[in-house]
Amino acid sequence: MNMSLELLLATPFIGGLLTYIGGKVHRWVRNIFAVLFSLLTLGEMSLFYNTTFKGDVWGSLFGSKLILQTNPITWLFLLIVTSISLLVIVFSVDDMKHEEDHIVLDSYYMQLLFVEGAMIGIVLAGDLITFFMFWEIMSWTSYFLIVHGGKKSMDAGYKYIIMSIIGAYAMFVAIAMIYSKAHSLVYPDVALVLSQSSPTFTIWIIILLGVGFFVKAAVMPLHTWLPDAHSEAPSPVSPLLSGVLIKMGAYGLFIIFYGLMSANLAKNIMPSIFSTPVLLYIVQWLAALSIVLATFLAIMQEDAKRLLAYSSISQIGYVVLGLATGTSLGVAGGLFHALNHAIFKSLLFLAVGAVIYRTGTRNLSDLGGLVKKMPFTFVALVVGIIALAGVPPLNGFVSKWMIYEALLQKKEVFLLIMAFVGSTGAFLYVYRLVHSIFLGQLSQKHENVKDVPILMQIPMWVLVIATVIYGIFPGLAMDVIVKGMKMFGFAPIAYNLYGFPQGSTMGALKVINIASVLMISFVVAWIFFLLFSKSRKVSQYDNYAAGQVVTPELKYNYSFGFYMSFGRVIKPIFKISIERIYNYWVDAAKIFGDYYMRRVYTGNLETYNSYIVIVVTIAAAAVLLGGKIW
Amino acid sequence: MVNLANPILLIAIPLLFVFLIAFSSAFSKSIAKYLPIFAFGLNVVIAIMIIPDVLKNGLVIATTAGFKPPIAIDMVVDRLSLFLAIIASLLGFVVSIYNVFYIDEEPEEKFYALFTLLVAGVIWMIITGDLFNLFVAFEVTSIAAFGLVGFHRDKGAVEAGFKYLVMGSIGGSFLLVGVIMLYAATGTLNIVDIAQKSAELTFQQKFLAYALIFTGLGIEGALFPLNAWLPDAHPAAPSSVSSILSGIMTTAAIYAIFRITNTIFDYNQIYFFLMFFALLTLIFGEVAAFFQKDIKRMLAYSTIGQTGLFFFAFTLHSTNGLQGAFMQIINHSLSKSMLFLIVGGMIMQVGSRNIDDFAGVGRKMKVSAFFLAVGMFSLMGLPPFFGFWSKLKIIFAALQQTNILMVASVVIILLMSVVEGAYFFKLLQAMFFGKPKQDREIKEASLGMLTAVVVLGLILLFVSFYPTPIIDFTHQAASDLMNKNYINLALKLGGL
Repeated sequence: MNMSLELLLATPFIGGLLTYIGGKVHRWVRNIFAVLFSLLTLGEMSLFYNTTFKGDVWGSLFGSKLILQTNPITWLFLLIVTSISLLVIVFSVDDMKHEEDHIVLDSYYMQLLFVEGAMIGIVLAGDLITFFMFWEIMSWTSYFLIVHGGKKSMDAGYKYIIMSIIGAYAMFVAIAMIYSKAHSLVYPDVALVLSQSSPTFTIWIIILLGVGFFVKAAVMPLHTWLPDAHSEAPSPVSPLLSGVLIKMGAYGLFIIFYGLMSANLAKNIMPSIFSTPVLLYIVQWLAALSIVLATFLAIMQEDAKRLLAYSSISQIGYVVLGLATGTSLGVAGGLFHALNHAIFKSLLFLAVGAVIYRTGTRNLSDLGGLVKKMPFTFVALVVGIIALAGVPPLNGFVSKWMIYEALLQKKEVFLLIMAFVGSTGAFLYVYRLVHSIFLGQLSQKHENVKDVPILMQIPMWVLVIATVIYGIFPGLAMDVIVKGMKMFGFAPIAYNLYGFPQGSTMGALKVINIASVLMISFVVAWIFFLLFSKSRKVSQYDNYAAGQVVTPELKYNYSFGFYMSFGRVIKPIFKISIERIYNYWVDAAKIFGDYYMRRVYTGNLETYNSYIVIVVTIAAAAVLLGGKIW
Repeated sequence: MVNLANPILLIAIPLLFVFLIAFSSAFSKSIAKYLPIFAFGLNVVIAIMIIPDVLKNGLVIATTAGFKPPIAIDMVVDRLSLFLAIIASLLGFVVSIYNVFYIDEEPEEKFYALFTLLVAGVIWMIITGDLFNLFVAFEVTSIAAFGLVGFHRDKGAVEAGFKYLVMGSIGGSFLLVGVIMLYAATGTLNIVDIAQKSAELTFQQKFLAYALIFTGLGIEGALFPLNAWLPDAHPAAPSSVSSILSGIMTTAAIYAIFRITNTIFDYNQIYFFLMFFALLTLIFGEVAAFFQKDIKRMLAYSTIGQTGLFFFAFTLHSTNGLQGAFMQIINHSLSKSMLFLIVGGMIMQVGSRNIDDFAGVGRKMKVSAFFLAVGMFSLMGLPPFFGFWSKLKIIFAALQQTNILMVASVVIILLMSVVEGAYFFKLLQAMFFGKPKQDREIKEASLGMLTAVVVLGLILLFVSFYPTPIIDFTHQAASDLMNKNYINLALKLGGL
């Protein structure tokens, strides 16, 4: 009925191959192909705005149909995938120029497009085989992107791929269990099987699928791959990982909670706490813990990208928390936050990537004072952090507000407090980012730094604009979300272009008003500042420290261990490292395995022959016993 | 007009060429190089010509010497043995091309003769219709393999060859004793005939013969704990030989176990015990592979693990399980033999088998490394490669029996897949992104060797992206085996 879904899915894959071949001709052919094909994908995707296709069969395997489908919710995720991929590819053109080996670059662009295609496949999938297939393709293609980042990225990528495989195989077991019951893996059939099976079976399915999605979404305690992978990956890849890839986990959670489990199923098969099914309640707590702990960890980072990586864990916590509330408002908030986080986190990673591009370091204590040298990047980063901190009128505010409101309506005070703590902590770490990179003393070696080339600025401009637009007009996104959620059986929520009207249970929200009030107060404060200013401009070396005159070689404002005192307060929490626990078990398994392997395969012929004798002896014993062993 | 679509030719041609190679070397050494290519090229053609017959009738029987089957030696080709024979011929053909450029050590003509004999023996094992011929083929294969494993004549090769010789001979003896016991009990050697009479056997007659045959074949077929010769033999042997040993020879022995268990004895009670063999083979193979520093030894242990996987699928004793097993056999044969060929080329360039020395090789030998990655991904079962479809099938088949044992087995299989991913990715990572250790000039493998690799690689890619015919075919082959069509059709077609 429509080949266009297949075309949308095929475009990035074909584009990837053509890009690779184009690289053999000339590097600009490759660059242009990469940009064109991602643009084409975005264009094709935009045609599906507000459309719904169910069950577009593209093949069959082992008696189960393979289906592509689309609805407004998938469109939302398609939007995230395709737009961020395009921006990342545009950003890469200049950022990756330093790589001399052209075959590495050719395959880099190919893999970028492959990852995009795989994610489109995940979102469009209408059955679990298609879903799982593209899920695995996404895992290994993104692995190759991560390891492009140099020596340290190899360990990060290795950890990432192993954890991904473990998560994927957990899903695999669940999928096979469903298949054994239904012999079909199309979503409606799966939903039917889940609703008819025993509660234990259904709960196992949810847990196994959930583990797979939790690994990818990096919800604690399965997050340990993320800080390494996201920080060690090349700068343009980090936004793709942080902004988009982990959202696939969120999408998966949405699908199992609200697509595969029909509306009341979860409530019927398990007890509820705070009118939330207990499994979802646990998910809420894991998400809330992710928010708080990852925020604390982000505060303590010295590495700009690692800081952002931990921040991603915390922000995806909001998404999952919203999705797990189960109310219309909360789920809508979670979905909206997925979009918003994709926008502002990509913006932040690109801005930090721009700084790395010019200075070659991402160590916060080595940077400083770049505001005059890279004014545009500064603006982009500031917009990004304001959005991340959830300050109106930028986009992070509305979605966070929706999640808070949903928690408030459910009277889940503890979770609400944790979400607030995460938000407050976010102020600390984002301030650190601005302060250490752009304010303070300019290091001498960064005297000649310029702002980044135009091709790297464009993606940031686009994201800055998107941040503002979705912040002031949340209705734009809510159009899609509410329409899509209606198809999954959620009660529609009232909204308008500027926010939410006064409802029976919640107050009105009009972002533009809040924004104007904020703006006006800001302007007033500024006017006062200008009028009654007592400050005086001095050179940054017109200063003294410890009784000595400050020279350019000396660093006079400290930026290492910025939140050290805070760190001392929260230190006891981090005595237990989840990663150490995993490593302990892996090491134990290795020692155990090595020990026994050496004892089995000794390399000694006598030992080997005795094995044969043992087998035959057992068989002979069975004969003597007259087959009594069974 | 001679009917060329005759299974006997599949054995007769390579055997003839073995003699031709031996003779021709007296006149010209360079002819011997190219003769195996012709032999297995012809074999591939003949195997393809048999396809229509097999698809039409389900079974092709060829008798010799003008006798009728219970007395005469006969060759029986059904769908299962057909696709294995095709794979064997194909691998023989491709690896022969590779050999021309790979083997540079004397005595070359003996190598080619033994190599041809090895593949001929494997094909013989696959298509033979009676048990004594199975034993003969087993011995032919083993003798050729002993010589080839020790071909390099350094200390490691001789030691490995000797270990293999001792264990293989023990295996052969057990097989022979088992066959003799069956002959004594039933008075016949024909597979179909024994299958007919096996119902009358007492438990002792049946089980002891089965156990001995199983042990004999299990040694060759790399089943734990009988497989200890394998990790030594593979690294010591020339890579092209490892490719055949790993790709099809162990599989042929496993095939024989399929036949004995399923077709001859229809031994339903034994599957439960075989499953433990399979799982242990899987666990020990994969875990041991993880700790290897020697790249070929790693692949050898991985072969053990993969054997465990498809043997596990076989022990499920269902059409779906068998289909999964067959798909995995195809996947493993193509991928693993390709991997050994590639690794052989890389070792020539690097000059070492140590994994650490392979750092950065992937960026120098791009084509080789690309297909290496494809092969490894397929073995790991990552989509969209063929291994994904077969692993999907095996897991689906396993979980069709929803008892806790099956769930545990599936968990073990997937855990071992994670281990497999761990060592394959470790190697790939070092190869593509590692810093080269020494400034050794590393070039791409020679064009002839690459040809062999690329042919296998393209076949693997083709079946990956277009798996439907293979899926249908293996499904048919599996239901043939489940429904005892081998016996039914043989009776109908005068195989007895």
